[in-house]
Amino acid sequence: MTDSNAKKPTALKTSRSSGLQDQANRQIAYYIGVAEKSDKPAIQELVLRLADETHQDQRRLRRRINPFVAALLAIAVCVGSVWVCTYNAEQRSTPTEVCVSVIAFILAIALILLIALLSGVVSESVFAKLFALLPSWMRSLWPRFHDKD
Amino acid sequence: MSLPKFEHVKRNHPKLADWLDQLNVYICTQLSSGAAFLLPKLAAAKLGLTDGEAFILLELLAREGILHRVYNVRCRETDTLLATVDSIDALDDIPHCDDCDSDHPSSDLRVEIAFKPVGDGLMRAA
Repeated sequence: MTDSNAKKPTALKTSRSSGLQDQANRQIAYYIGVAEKSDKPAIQELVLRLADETHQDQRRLRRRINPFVAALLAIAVCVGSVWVCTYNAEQRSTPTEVCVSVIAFILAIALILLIALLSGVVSESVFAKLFALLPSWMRSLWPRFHDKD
Repeated sequence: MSLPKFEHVKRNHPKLADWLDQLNVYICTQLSSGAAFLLPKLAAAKLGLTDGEAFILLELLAREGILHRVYNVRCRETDTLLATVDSIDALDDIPHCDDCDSDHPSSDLRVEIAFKPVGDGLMRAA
């Protein structure tokens, strides 16, 4: 069987996803069901292992925050931080107050990045690259990404 | 084929080493004969396994980044391959069937689970 008989996509598209997705899911469930009944212990072990990995992936996905809520939070935090900085500048605050505002702004950016990571908007690999730019003492504070260097 | 990744899978699953070796030979034979996809049903027949056992071995190679699970969508009427998509979500976007000149409902289409090699490492090894 080769690709040669594959039709070139035309402009006409249809949405039949649920039916086709059901078919695909049923087929996978059938294969897994058959494999579970295998008389080979090694295959049965593998089925359990792959099922466990799949559940872990699903749990990881469920832990993610809704991207819409994450975007609203991120915008709110960013606007709030900018407002605090502007307010301090207008009020001719003391250096300590300005310093606290700058730290709050940096923390807000860090929070936005964290929300983006948790909501799945930015992948972990992008974070790992950003993380590599930080000084080593900062990286050691977060071993999870430090290990990926 | 003696790809480092494949050897790594065998090391991690020593109890499956014999079947993985047989699957390896089957994959190489299929790829060298020009096949674009590996189907669990055909692999099962060749290796003397059940469909499910062959699928789970192919799925293991997919999880390890050697193969890649794809979904072939065929017209039930003509068996024409309309599309090959990488994810279940992509089944949303299936082209018009030119043979039947129709946008088939899902009941007129058949989804087939298949596997493709990742990159050209396997192709070169074959």
